[in-house]
Amino acid sequence: MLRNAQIEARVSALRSAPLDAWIALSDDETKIVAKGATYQEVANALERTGDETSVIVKTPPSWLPMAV
Amino acid sequence: MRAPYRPSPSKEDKVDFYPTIRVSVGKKHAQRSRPFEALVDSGATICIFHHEIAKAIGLKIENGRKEQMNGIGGPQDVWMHPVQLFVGGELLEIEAGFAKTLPVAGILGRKGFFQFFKITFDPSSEPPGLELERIHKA
Repeated sequence: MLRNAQIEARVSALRSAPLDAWIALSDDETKIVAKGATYQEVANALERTGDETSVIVKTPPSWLPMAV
Repeated sequence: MRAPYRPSPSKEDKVDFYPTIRVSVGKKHAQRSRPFEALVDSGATICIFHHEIAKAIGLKIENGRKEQMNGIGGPQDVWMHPVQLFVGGELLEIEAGFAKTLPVAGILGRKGFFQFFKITFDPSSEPPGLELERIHKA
């Protein structure tokens, strides 16, 4: 379950992330632990630090309501 | 398995909540991707993943069967490949599309995802969330 503080931290982390890029969020999704222009850059960064729990997120070109 | 909708920034200072879950994708007897967030989308006919996920698991997307899919931005090419989809503790053998442009890492659609689960979307709960129950059809 996401608590309000987690929600705020996740949204704040995402707002600070580069757009149209790839990032990894910590397991609790409150901070960015890796970022890159490609999925592989982020995966490699996690590999280097032995991080097995973070989740990779693709950021959109802009933060707008999404309809895919 | 219950998953709360995930908050994402929206325009101005607003926040939108989306039904996303953590999944990974792999090829039989080969590397599987890191867990990534994918959007659960009952409006999508199939599961579609970003082409960079394909590269990460050693797939050359153009070797797949090319199809066109309609999206809100119009038709786009996808390349179909058999893959393994990991959802929670479940391993699903599916055929998924890979696209060169996608605003998210993956979209979980009816074929390849909804066919395996009874899914309840509950935006009225606090926090809003979705419930997945694996179904096994004979």
